[in-house]
Amino acid sequence: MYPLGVTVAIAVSLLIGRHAGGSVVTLAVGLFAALLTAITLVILLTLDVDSRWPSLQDIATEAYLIRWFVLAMTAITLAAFFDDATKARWVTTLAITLSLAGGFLGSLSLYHLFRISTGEGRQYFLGRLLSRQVSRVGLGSSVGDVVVGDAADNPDVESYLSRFQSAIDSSDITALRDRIAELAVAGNTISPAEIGALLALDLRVLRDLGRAVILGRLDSPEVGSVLFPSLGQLVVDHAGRTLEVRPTAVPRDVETDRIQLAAATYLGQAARTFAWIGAATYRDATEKEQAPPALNAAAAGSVTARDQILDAVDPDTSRHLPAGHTWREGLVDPTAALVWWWCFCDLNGSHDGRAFYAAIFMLTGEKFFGSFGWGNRYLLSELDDRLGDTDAPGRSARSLRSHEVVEAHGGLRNVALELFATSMASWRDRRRPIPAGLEQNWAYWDDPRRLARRARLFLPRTGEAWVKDSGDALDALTLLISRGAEHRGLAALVRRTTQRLPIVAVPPIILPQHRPAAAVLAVSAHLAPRTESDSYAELERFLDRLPTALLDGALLLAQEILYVDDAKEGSIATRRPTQRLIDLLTFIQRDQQTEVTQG
Amino acid sequence: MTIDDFATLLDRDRLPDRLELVQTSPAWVEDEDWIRVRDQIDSLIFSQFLFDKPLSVRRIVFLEPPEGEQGRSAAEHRSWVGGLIRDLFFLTMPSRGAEAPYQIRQLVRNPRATGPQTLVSDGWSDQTNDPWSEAFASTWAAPGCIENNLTPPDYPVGPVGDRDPRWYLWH
Repeated sequence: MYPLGVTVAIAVSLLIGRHAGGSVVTLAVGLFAALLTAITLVILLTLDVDSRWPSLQDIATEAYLIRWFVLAMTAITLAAFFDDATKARWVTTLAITLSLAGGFLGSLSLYHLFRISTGEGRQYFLGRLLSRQVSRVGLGSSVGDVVVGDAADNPDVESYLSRFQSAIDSSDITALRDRIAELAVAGNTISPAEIGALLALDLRVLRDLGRAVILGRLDSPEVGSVLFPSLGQLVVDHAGRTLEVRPTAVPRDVETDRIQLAAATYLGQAARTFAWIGAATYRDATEKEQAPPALNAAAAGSVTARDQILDAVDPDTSRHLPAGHTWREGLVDPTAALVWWWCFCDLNGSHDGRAFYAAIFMLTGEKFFGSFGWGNRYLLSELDDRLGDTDAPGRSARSLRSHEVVEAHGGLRNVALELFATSMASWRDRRRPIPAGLEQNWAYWDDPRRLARRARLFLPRTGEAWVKDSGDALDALTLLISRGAEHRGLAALVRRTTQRLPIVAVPPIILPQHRPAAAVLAVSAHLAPRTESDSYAELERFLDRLPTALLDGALLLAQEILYVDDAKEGSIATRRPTQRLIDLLTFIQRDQQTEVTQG
Repeated sequence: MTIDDFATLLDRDRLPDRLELVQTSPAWVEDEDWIRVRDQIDSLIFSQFLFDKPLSVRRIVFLEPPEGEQGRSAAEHRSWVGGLIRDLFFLTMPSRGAEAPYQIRQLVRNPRATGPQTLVSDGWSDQTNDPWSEAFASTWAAPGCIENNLTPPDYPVGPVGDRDPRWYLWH
């Protein structure tokens, strides 16, 4: 527009060639001075010239200030240094035209300055600015298919992050809200192919906010109650935009849908980060023996945000979205489903029960109806029934593909054991009382029957042993914790898919090989008797065969996460480790259905 | 020895009671096929000890990654050797001394050497008097073949961050 305006001004001057006399200098200088005063006043009164976000250069570029300045100075120079007697008439006319064009452009600059100084205009300006900067970051450098580093560490987004950090330091909730709104605008304007770098920024912002709340640097409940759910929705929207780059014909029932896999990984990491915030705030609150409002709100906000993520990927809930919505069909690729499933079970996050329902729908294309555990209907057994019989008539292509993918990761038993070990590794310490205000979160409920019900999510139906005896249990444990199995399994898969994206997982992805105690407990829970009349001989045999390091580790963890009975713990303290572990594992017999029936 | 020769170890029924094993080729951390077999051998040995099968293993791996401390093969090497130490820790068995059932030594490479860098080539044997076993014995006793010096994990439950997620505020 700028070169066009100047060209038109020159052309008009040549055509008209009109002499306008000595008022040219006055006109040019007058217009320039008036606009310069107005622009300076607006900048001084409304914009922080020391700011790096946006920088003065960003503002000058957005408001065409430099172009206006050059144009106005050219007009003044033409008018001032050519005298009336010698200069061509068209030059004088050009000076007048350029002055007027400068006046127009200066007014435009003034308008843009007003627009970007406050309100939605400023938000839109900064959002687009962020979008441009993130586009420059791109997806980073890579070695093979491994992307090096985190896109949020790129210097191009440093100014945004430093402004975000200063808002945290000054506990300025309005500024934090503005920064998040800018992420939303950037998400709408950036190309879907570059959205990965923006998602890296989303995750960084989320992590920094969580850290600030846990460390007590932000004590406003608004962070948890408003900003966390906003960020949750933002990540869902941005991950949804990755799906827009889908080629028109992807044979999704035949090979892994890499686009869904990327979206699942981003959402999985966001779910893990929210789980981490919830777990860390809980741990902090247990030490303080109370949950201050900010921590309370952070835990609740994390639960809400995970709920939003779950709603987006669950084919059962997402089908209610409008036609054409990127999340309309949820996650349907089996590998993407497994990645998301593992992430959702990690770090003691909320809604793991609903996540199981969602994962079964993703893998089989059919919903699990009813309440698991009642009538001996169990989620994993039903999943096994649906995936297991590959020769059954009417098997869907998705179901057959899911069967292949699950088998490639060690089969459903190993998948279930790894999920169980991953979940148990970070269950809360039940010996510490739940701080007031956190009682209603599923992950922290005190009722032992809830604990048993949660464990039963990861188990097959009663009477259907997936771990048959002590030898089978040792085999299963070997597959979980031996070094040689490091490249298999879900955590290794999540690690690989994360490495292909411009993000770094924080907290880090922990393989089951590094969670030996939880692995032992997961295998033991499969062998543990479900009712008082069942034998625990095989469980005892298995535990007796374990090396001391594994047994001691498992006992230490069980004493924290399976502790349900004060009196019992006291009475068993003198017994040998195997017996103590067996006693702790009887928690699983607290079958809600049986107790309700008997009650 | 080829990778197929190592793969014959993976038949559990034929795993000998006494095993000497050398894995010093860069392929063990660079080639996907070799890595897969390597992992299976690791798991097999671990499970044999976990099942309390009578077994004596003396194993030589290299101390330093073949291409220096940076890059993918270095990360693979760290993961491998660190995992072997973890296996030893899980099994709660002494890894040093003549009576230890599962011993691992690490071979120091000489970067200036132009010829063969090990006295014994990669391979495995359950014999005591064949030429390869004799070469193994002399390499095992050589000064450049050192007992593993990696620190085993000292937290038997799992990572600290699992039990106190605030750990990741600073790590």
